[in-house]
Amino acid sequence: MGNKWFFNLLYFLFSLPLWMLPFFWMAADWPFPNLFPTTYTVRSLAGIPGLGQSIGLSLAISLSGALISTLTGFILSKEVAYHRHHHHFLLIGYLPLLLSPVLYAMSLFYFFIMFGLDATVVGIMLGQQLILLPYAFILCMGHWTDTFANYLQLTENYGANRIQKVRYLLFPMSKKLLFLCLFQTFLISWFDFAITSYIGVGQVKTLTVLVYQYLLEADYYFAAGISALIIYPPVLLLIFNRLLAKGLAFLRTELPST
Amino acid sequence: MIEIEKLSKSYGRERVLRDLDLQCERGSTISILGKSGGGKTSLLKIIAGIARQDTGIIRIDGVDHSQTKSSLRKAYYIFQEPLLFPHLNVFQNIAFGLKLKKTDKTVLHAQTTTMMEMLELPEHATKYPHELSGGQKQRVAFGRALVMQPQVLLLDEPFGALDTETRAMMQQLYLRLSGELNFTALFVTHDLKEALTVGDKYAVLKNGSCDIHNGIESLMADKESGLEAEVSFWSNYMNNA
Amino acid sequence: MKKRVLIALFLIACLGPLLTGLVYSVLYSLGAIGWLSQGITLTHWQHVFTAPSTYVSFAFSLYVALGSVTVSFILSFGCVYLLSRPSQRAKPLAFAWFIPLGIPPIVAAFISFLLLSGTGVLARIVWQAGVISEAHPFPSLVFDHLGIGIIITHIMISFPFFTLLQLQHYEKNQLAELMGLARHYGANRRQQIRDVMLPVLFRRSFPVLLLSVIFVMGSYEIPLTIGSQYPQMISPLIIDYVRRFDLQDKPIGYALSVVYTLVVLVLAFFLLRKQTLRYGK
Repeated sequence: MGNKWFFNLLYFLFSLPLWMLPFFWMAADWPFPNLFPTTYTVRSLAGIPGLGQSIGLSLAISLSGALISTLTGFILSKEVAYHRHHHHFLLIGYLPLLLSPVLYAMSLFYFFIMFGLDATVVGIMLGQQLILLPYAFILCMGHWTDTFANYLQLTENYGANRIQKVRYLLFPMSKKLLFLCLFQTFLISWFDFAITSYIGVGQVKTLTVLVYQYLLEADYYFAAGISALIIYPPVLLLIFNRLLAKGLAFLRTELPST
Repeated sequence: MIEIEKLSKSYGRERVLRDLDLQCERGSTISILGKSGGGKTSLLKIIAGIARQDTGIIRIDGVDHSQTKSSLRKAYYIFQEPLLFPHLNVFQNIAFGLKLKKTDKTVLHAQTTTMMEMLELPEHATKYPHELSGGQKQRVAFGRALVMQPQVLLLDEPFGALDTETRAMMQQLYLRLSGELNFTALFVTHDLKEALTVGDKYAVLKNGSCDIHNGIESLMADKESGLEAEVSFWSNYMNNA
Repeated sequence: MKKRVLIALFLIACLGPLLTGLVYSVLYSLGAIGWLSQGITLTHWQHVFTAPSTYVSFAFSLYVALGSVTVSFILSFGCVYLLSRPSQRAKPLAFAWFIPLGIPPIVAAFISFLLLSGTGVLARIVWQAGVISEAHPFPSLVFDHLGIGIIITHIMISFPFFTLLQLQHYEKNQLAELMGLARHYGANRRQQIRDVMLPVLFRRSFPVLLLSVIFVMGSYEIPLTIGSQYPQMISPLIIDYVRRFDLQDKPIGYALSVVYTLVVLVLAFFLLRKQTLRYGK
């Protein structure tokens, strides 16, 4: 019985962001020590200046970033995984992921200025690839097993050309991984604040940058509205696709020793 | 007919095949025995064209295939694992190679159906690999290779993962198909009984080259084959029983 | 040829920016480059190693990282223990465990702010319970010197993830069967947990725990949003130096970032070398 209460409390806490943020978004006044807002108001998200553009920017940056990193990571990992020094390359692949993204961006910022990429969408996309690409690479590495190598040899033995290899082997047998990798890299990009704010100099206003801006301005209602907008799409996707949720959790735990 | 002349292969400093010579007459099977890591798989993969030799000549039915692409050799490799495509059903798995060759649909259907009948698989045609037993999967893998009308079949411990009963059944199936389709085969196995059952000749791979034995007596005389030890074990066992 | 090109591309993509950034930071910290560069000098490095804030910041970052990872591990271990009971194992895992995977750090920090600040939800609950009668006696758990808010936020993010990880190890390592075996040999419940479940799950999770310590040490958004001015975690401190109005502080920021990068790379090298070499095919 005690366990049941404990877990229900836990699940309530986990789901807190899902109802608390929209709730706060609709609050008009919340004086201390009232537990709930005293008055509510119907705010339109359209009332947040520049929100439409921010959504568009965030979507464009995250979608393109996820596509580029997944495809590149997939192709590179295949070559690396079957190389005799693959374990050393795997170690190298991990290194960029361990650094603090903001410090990584800072150490390269001069070059972004030099090429006129600071405060630009392209600059942010490139900056995010510093993290997304190694991430996708690491995720895909586990896919290339000895068995998969045998499948590759088998298709070669049966005369598959390059397109047929992709169509009959690589795509059907990797589509789950590709989908999960796309989703995961999309999430990293969608959630990114550090690289985006540093390379974008706060001028490329993605959703996370907008949240931080409203937090600085102490406009917590707006910050709550935008935060809800950031978390709802991925959480809904996870709710409707348990496979995705399980896969996501699995992929995040897929470190070499596990 | 397969003719191998002076085949050599190294991985880094390790030389797995050295000046290996081998001949296998058309329609016959050579059982290949040898220690693990002795180059048996490398030999088969090189003949199939999915690995490259450092030096040496490979002739299949008199044609030099030393540098030919794998798909042009008509030499099909059968792995120890069946390696069926999980997204394809039994019919589609067997028809895989024909589809890659863009075979006419009617011909593809007819040839695949015939092959399924030979392998007693028609009732499983629409099943997916996860619905099949180990023996059934390996039969599908056989069908996928045989439907291509191979000149050479290269079998790398194809029954290694099967239980004793299924293994014996598959060996009998192999003998039947070998008689009906008259293919030339190199059959790698660790199991002496299997080697004796399926092989017309026996090759023992040691130190990168191989000794060919035309009969059991000769194989017995070769200590590396392990046959003498096996026979003496069983005769001692029977005497003591 | 194509293979070599792709391998080279991979190395360029992973190592190129890393080494370029490191070399640039070293040169900047030595005064060899930069707007106010006056030639090579060790002044900035001297400052880094003599200023107490450096040591405080590293120690504070380590404390936050170790604190949050340790608490997360203990909590998740407890949950795995409860979830692995036969009555719980039959049920599918509640979806709520996956929700925190969809919360970015900046939003998590904001939620912590709403919950834990001096006038936040928690303070209001305490007031409603009659424990306090004004806002100020309630200790603000954000912007605090002990980094409690930062630690709680990191726990919020990592604890469910650690639980999922340990549940996976529980299944993969057949712990239910192993504990049953221990019981068969006469181990009581406590011994089963102490001698079988804990060592197996800890050993299996260890690399992830260490990597998490590295990630938390370098975290930026959470300490930036709800961290105190002093002590500061390493990432916000460095960014602070680099963005200060006084351009003389910039090289100090770069020197600090070199120290941080080297610490992480050395840690990672020893941690990952063993793990990746074991990642045999």
